[in-house]
Amino acid sequence: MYLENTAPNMKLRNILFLLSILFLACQAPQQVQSLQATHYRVSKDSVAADPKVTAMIAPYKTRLDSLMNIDIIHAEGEFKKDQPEGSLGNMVCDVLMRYATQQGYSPDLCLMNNGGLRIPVIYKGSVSVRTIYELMPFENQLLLLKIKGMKMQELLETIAATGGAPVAGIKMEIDNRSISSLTIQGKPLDVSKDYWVLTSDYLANGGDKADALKDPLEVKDLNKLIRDVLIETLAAMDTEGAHLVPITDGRISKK
Amino acid sequence: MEELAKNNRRDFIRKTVYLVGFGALANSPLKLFAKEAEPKSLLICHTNDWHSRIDPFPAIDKNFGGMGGAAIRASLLKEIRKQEQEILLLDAGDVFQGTPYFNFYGGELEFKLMSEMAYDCCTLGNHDFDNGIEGFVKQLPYANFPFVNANYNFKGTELEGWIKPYKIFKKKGLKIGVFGVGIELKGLVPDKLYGKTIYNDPIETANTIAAHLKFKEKCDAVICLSHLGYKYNGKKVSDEILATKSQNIDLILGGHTHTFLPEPVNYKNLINKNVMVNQVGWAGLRLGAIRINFEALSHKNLALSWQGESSINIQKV
Repeated sequence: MYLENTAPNMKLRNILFLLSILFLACQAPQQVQSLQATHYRVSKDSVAADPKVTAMIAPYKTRLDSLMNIDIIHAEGEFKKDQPEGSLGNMVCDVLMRYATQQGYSPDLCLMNNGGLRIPVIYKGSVSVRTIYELMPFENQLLLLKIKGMKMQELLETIAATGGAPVAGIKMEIDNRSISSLTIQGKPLDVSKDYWVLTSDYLANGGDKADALKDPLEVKDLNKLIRDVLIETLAAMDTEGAHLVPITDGRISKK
Repeated sequence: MEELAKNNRRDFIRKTVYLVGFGALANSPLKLFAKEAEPKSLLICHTNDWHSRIDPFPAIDKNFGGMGGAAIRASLLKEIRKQEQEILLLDAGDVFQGTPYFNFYGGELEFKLMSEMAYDCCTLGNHDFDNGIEGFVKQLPYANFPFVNANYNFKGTELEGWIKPYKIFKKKGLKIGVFGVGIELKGLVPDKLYGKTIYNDPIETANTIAAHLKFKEKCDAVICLSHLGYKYNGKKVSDEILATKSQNIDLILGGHTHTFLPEPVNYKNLINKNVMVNQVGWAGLRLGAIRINFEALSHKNLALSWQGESSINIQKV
């Protein structure tokens, strides 16, 4: 009733006001009401490869295949990444030790890190250059570090606390994340002695909690990528007629 | 005719007033109009930890033989786009490192393919620093999508100005804020590779940015791209901790721990609102797809985060 008695400009104002409410309602900000999830499996069983993407990849792939699909040695069994020890980590450290020895060094310990082994398994059959690239994609250098016996103890305690790492040169038993027995090159740890550790520049720079490797007494850079050392040493082993056999020998064990 | 128009106008006003009056009784005058609008929804597709896995896994691989591959993912995304018209396609970092494609080409092909698949946004993972800051900058010309990270300060590095804390995307009439958080680089990435990059607390940063996106930018939804990792034993900051200690985030899409979550996990955030966390393994083996359903927000029922239920409909993988 009051509307009918209102002046026309007042009516217009009312209309504009009401229209603006309508407009605001349509433009109202949204809020999340619910979420629904689906996980799609990326598989050639569900869709065919996109031809354009395949064509984009082709020139890169062709060049890489010619460099990567080269078999270097035969694996007699399956190599696995594991803790406290795994045949994959053991193999890597044994091969690095072999290389360092051939170069005239005698490291007491070879230490790598599980996070640095980027594939969980090497299958029985031929091991190619690609396999080693995927195992060790990082541009990590091989180093020799001389550290004090006290630091060696600290380093091995860290390894025990984290459940084991890829090693060669030691035999260690872990009891509830601490060392219950230990020999280095067959002898007990002597904290007054200095030790040589063969490792990666990643760990040498304190990566993966290896703080005990920081500030070593001496550093020898072998000036080679760990990946290249593996490829060359494995190829040489193959030439010598050696086969690659998975080994777990209790170098790190749990009580 | 003129008279009729006048009458109609009066009629309209009377009816409108009635409706508004009725609406006021219903405690939410705008709801009546808002409800008539088509409910909005947007599909968010996401990947994490691609690690240069451009080709499918070789047949010999016992776990993933024949699975994955960029060309298959591109096809799958095309199918999804056909149905959805518009999607938001995101990646939670570690695009780089893991196959010789990265060793030989430095990430060039990865970025080209992500551009071809029309990724909207990506955050940085620790391995994206593997060729140093300059190695990442070198590949930027191949990426036609932006990178977001809010808790790395790149001031004084070659990346300064290239990485935005967040980006806002307008899709299907919705405004979606996407920001990134990354893991502590010290001890994980060699110092020389990340150089002067400063790591700031991800939770504090996330809360600041999320509030900004929600209230200043008035985003309809806030998504965090995280490379913190899903969860750890101990106190190390993770998506789980971020989810429970933050607010104003609707969805956290994670990476780093290569976790194949069988389904996304819902958490209650700092103020007891829902937040969803998802991660889809690694190597481009899975594509996550999360549909966000919206409702119009009235001024009376202004909510800070979504209250509705999430339903999880997992395709057999």
